[in-house]
Amino acid sequence: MSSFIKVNNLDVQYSRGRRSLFEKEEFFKAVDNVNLSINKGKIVGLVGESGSGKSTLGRALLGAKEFHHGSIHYNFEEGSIDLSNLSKKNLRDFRSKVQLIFQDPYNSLSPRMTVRDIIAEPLEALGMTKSKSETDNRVIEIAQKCQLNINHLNRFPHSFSGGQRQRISIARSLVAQPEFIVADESVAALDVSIQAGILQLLKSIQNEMGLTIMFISHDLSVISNFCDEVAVMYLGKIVEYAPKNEIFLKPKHPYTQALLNAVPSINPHKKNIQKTLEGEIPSIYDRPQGCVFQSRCSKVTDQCRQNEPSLKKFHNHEVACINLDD
Amino acid sequence: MTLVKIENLKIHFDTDEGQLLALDDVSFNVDQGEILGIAGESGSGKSITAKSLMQLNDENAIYDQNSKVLYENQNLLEFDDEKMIPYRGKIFSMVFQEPMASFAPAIRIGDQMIEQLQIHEQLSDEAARQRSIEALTSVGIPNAKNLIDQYSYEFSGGMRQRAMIAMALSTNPKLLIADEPTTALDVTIQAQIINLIKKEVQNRNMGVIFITHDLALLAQTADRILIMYMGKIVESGTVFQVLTNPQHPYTKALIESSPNIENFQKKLLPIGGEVPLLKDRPQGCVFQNRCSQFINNKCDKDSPLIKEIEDNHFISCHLHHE
Repeated sequence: MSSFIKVNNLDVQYSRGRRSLFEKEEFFKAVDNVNLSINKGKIVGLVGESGSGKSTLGRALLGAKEFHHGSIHYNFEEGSIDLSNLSKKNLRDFRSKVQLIFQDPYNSLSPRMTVRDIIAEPLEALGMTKSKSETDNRVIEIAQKCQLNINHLNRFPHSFSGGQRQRISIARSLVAQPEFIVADESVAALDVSIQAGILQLLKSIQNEMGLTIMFISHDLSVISNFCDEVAVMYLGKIVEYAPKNEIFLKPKHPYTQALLNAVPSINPHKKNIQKTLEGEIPSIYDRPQGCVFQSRCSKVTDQCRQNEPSLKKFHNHEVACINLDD
Repeated sequence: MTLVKIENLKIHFDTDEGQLLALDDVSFNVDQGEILGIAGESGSGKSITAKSLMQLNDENAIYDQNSKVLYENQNLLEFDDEKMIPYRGKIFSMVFQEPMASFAPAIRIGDQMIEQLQIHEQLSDEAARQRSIEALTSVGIPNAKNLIDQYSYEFSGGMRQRAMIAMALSTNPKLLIADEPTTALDVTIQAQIINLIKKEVQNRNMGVIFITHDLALLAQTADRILIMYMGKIVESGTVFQVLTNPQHPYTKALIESSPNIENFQKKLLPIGGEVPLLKDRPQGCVFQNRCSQFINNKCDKDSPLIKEIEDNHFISCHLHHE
């Protein structure tokens, strides 16, 4: 079976501007040579520290950030789309099939629009409905699915709590019936008791609609609970990609291991965060030669400083490290 | 030995909607060398409690007459701004959640540290600068001699939080109040900061009030925990009592809803409903509308009293008042 999304050798660059008029514009890579394939109906967690390129990768997948090298290929039900050569018409089709759920339910909803209008906007913008009553029906249907009170659809966002606002965001993202969703830190701003409800909702809708989700988060406990597969990013590279159980029970990459060691355990009898990673993620401007993780890795060798490891199949994992042993 | 004792702390906020009760009869103490964790969701009153110690709440806060914040047998709530100066940065010190917002962006980090030192102690510029450099070095900032002249935006998030802690510790406080000190940080940096705070507590024998919404973080740091909900302490005890043998339905529900990396197959159970607004504070138990063990005609009538169910383990719930 061919995968739903196939990313090959993807580079995404940002401009750093030029130092003076006479010098060339400088670029740096936020996403560096990423290869990734995602199967249909999976929830893929994307985890890493700030500055690792998680959000940039997510945006590139949505066609919201242009990329400079490599390819992104989608196999939608109605045919496949290659993001590197999209016509205007195809772009419109593509936009209806992918959606983003934002982090902050306070800033991502227009305060001047009613909830009904917020949810209906994608349908109207993409011209997916023929009449107002059809739009209303679609809005009501998705609002019910997202457990919103449909009698409150004419209210404005300010009269809703954080959890309810995130339900509105989700309804807006799903109303055009996309096949792929990028959820970028979508529960990070919520209290745990509310967060659990939103995760439950996302999971049940994902099941029902057969959605594929890329779930970007820095919170490993949430990822461990919610996702099927996990990709770990560091300085623009995916360093490990494996099914959830493998990542959390048998992490292979030294960075994945260090990340897991830093997550506090809720069991007070088990003091676990003493052995922690030192230093910080290097600036993206001074990407080192060789392995990106060398400056903080406990197993670093001379080899690591010279050769850049690529993702290799290792048991059920894909790992980018040259020092793997069983 | 008890360092600070809070007794019957009760605060109303004077708003357009009337006087709203925000803290209701909060009593606890912090010992020397102890990390006291305060946990609860947004709006539970954690930060208001902490700010009361330094009288840093907004001007519309009205403290109840019987409320006391006792330090060395004096009630700090009776002090005016002048008398409070030593308790704002010297005897009590605070680390805030957002290090970017808590440093002035246009003043060098060093100058901010020196200013604070000179307010509280008679120090020459040179001596204050030296103390600041030492403080920065002790929290693991390399090359502090040069970095002290930088601005906060030139620091990474982790460095900024270290500098914040260095600044808070430079006056040798007796009590450190840390309000969500790692919430904005990555897990690896969070672990570094936590280990730093724990080390300093041991070295200095100071007390710490550690405020967070993350129970796992408290499991790894705190000696005792208070669980707050709508301005009340609903459960308190040692970290082991509260987290491994929780008794209040809210504490239990909070643990049930928290994802756990060691048990990732666990089904998360959200707590139904939402925290009521302050103006809709219910009669009786504050948790009644979300509680799975709600007792009709009891929980909606009487406010439960605080009861000690085992040594030093307190809860406030009708289920334990037979």
